[in-house]
Amino acid sequence: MTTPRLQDAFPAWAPEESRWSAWAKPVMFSYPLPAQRAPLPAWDDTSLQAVQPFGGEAVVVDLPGVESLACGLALARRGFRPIPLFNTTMGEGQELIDIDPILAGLFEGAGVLGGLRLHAEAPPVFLLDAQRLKGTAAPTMFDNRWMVFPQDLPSARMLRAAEIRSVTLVRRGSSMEPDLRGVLRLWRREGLEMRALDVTTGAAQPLAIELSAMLFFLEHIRRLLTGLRKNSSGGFGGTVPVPQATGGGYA
Amino acid sequence: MAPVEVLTLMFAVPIALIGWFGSFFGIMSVREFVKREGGRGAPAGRLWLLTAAAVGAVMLATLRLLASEDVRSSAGWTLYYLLLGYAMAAVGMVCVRLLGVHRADVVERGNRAASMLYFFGIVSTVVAFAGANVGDGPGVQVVHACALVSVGSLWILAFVHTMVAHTSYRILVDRDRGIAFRFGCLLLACALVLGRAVAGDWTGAVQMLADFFPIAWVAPALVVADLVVGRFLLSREPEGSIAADRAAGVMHVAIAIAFVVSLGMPQ
Repeated sequence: MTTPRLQDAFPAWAPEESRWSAWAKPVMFSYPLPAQRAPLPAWDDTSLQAVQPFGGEAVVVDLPGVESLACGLALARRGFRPIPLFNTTMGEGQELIDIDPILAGLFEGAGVLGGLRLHAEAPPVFLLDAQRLKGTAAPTMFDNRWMVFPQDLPSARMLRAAEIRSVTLVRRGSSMEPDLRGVLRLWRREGLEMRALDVTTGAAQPLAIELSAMLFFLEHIRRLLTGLRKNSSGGFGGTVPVPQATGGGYA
Repeated sequence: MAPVEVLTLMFAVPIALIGWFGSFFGIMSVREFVKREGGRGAPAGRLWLLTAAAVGAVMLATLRLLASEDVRSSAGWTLYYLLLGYAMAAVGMVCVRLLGVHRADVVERGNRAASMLYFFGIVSTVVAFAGANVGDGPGVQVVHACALVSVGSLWILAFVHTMVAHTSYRILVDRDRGIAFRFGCLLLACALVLGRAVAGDWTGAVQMLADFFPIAWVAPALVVADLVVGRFLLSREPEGSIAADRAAGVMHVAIAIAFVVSLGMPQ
């Protein structure tokens, strides 16, 4: 019996026939499947009643790792095409973000998607991990926090070309990381309508994005310069070095 | 070798090595699966090779046909200035990066528009630099002076274009191959004009600048023309026909070639 490979699950998440597949991130699919695999949490579909496919709407799910996957698959059952944007890696040392549950979820999700036969023109639901920038890295840890750039998602012009006029952000509460705020700000500037859906209440309301371009830019640069580590093999992630025990100069 | 030539070599070798080998190993270190699936349609390894070959071809053609007699007749000096060309191409890589093109765009995101900008940006830098190698002069220092003027002008025009027309955004986020091709051709056209504007025998810095402006004005004129053309082409959606952009790009290069040919051989 051959061991299943996560790589083989990628075509289910990014089929050739979907225009949105070009945005699916392959880096996590390049890792082996974890030995211990917990099933994805069940998702209460009633919280997503406000989201309708083929109504000129795209969705961005910003929930913690496996919840984002479970929500994405629930939306897939309603006719959306889930596109995983997880752009992180694993490596030596304690990982800041445990990606094993996400790897297992991607594998499980491929089986679900294989049975759905989604329409080639299905509108996209972009899956993010709300924990992607959480935590503080210490020496010897593997800092695999990551962020999303405007280049990681289709532009507003591309969305409009696919008859998409509005975007729904699915999240819990009202928190939003600055990287996603920057992407949504660009979309809104180019004329897409925005609303936020809180999965705890199921209520959708117009999304206010209060952040000046300068503040967004400065926050973006700060993240790049002070925290996140690009991985040479693709995506984000790197071991935090141990600071020198002694200073330079004469002993 | 004069001290300035030795000093130039001391800077050029590490710049060329870091630029070219750094970008090569940057591409190679990405996992094969990520390159294959993320970079669909944009094979980064081939792009690197194609760019390196184009840089070599531009420099060798210039050095063997148009450089001063002592460079043309000496394999050692040809190799020396070829190396300077690769170092200048590495500077072009930095300029392309300043426009926002990163490894992730070409290798991991498979953005073919970004790949075009990478290729044209680097090759155009070398074309502008190649003009500085045409004609007789007292040494490598005059090549530096001419290259500073031609390559510097090229990238100032590139950044002005991207600030006015949001060209980087259209290429990196919209992934608009039409704009990438048109802008790439514009860079190449400007490089041909600016390279020709600094070509010729060296008779002094003031004379070089006096010869430069009467020819180089065509480059900003091309940029202005492209910005006007772009205003009309921009209204189409990203998946529309890119034939108009291609035609405009080819037109830029054709105009530049016709202009340079009309000037005759540099004196």
